[in-house]
Amino acid sequence: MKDLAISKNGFVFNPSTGESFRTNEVGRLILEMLQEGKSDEEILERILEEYDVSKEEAERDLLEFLNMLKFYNLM
Amino acid sequence: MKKPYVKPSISKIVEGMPSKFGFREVVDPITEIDGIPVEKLIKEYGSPLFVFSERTIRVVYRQAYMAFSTRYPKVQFAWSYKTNYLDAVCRVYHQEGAWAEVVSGFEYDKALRNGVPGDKIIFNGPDKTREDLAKAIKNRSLIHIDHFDELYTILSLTSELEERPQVAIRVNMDTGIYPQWDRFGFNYENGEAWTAITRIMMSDKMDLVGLHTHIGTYIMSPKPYGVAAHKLAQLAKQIEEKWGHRISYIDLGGGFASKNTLRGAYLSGKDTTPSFEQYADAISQALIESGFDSYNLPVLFLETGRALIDDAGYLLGTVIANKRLADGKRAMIIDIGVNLLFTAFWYEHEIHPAKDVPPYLEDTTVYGPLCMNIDVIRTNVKFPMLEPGDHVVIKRVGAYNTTQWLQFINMRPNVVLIDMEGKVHVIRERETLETITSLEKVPDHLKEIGLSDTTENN
Repeated sequence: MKDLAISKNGFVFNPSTGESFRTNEVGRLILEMLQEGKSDEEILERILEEYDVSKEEAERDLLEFLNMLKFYNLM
Repeated sequence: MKKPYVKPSISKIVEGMPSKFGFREVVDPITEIDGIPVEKLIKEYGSPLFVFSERTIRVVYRQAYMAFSTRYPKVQFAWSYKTNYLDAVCRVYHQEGAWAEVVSGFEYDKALRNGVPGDKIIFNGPDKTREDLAKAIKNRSLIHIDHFDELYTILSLTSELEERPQVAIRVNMDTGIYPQWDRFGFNYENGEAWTAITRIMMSDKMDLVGLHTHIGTYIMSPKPYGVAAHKLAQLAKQIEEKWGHRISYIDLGGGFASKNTLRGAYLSGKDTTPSFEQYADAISQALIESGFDSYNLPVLFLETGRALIDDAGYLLGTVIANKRLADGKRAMIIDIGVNLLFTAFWYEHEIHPAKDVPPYLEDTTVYGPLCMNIDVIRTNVKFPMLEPGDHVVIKRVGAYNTTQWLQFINMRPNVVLIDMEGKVHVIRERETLETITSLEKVPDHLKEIGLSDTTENN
């Protein structure tokens, strides 16, 4: 996770496998906070502070996003 | 001020796998139909909802009629009831001048009920009962004979009835397409069709008024129609030579493809489906070159259904849930099942969100709500993120769905028609529990089932 190169326009490169990914703004925020070692709760809190979204929706989406990262072997 | 939220997403970029031909991957929203917002339609009439556009029905019909009538002087369309026999839809076609083409006693009675005169009904199909045939003979309907047993039934009826049956025979033939449809009618190449014609002419008890063929369905090339028209014209000329009897019409049936994309097709149906003009060119050219006396050309009958109605029908629905499959792939469950969208088995239906959404697309499998593994509306379609409660619009569903739909697990929904002035009419009401149970009967010994509510005792 720490090695991931994340560009401002949402391009993600995994140097250990050579795989590339595309993410969006909220996805990038989550990835960057994970790199900083932040917990799921801290990430959720930050999303709720910055974005116009309900807690339920943000929590559900975060869970799904984390599952996708596991699926892609990014964490 | 908080920023607008977009669901977080991540997808792998696969090298060397551009979209087909590098097409721009965009899924445009469909927010309204004939000027009526999709949200409003669903709010008032529920979800799912079939919507038909009267304007599209009329415009497409006129395009088809124009394509043929500018190439051949005598053209008559007959609306294929099995494609869509909602009364309101049939009546739009009849108002445009189309006759009725029916394939059962039920459809026949529906056409009469819609005010179609008996002599403007074409009666096709292998299943006509003796009673159906007697009724059709009395009404001077055009009976297209499918097999010898039917021919003999009609012959036997002529001794009971005063009217002379107005008949045609259905001819099947090799037009160069595969599979060759040979289960309907009499074969051209092996001489069976000629035998049937001879039997009719020799009986002198019925009038052979036409020749009919229906070469197949979803025919993606106009050429076989030219072959079919040529072969029927040759039969007509042989009849004239042998008996001095002139056939008054040649019926090329239906089978024109719509702009839907067939499952597994490499190219989009929008790019590959022949236009009405191309079908018309092939057919009219073959007829005109057949050497008919130009003052006595037979009328060209057409029974195309799908190509006329598909574009006019939309199916609106609602997202129930999103989930991830075991392989990480995205799945979206909507309230439209294959019991309503029967054609999902044949087509890769275009599906659109009903509102503007962020442009991020992800490979998605769209499932229906049925508790059945086969309930798949689309596999692997690039689709934007929608949330539960958001709406979707499926395009080109006008043909076959409101005739082949099944009442299964849930009731069938409302069907509405948007008229030329933009007014919305319910043309088939949604079913209720009562609709279904009113037909059921419970034997006396099953009236009491004997289970009591144990929660009351606790």
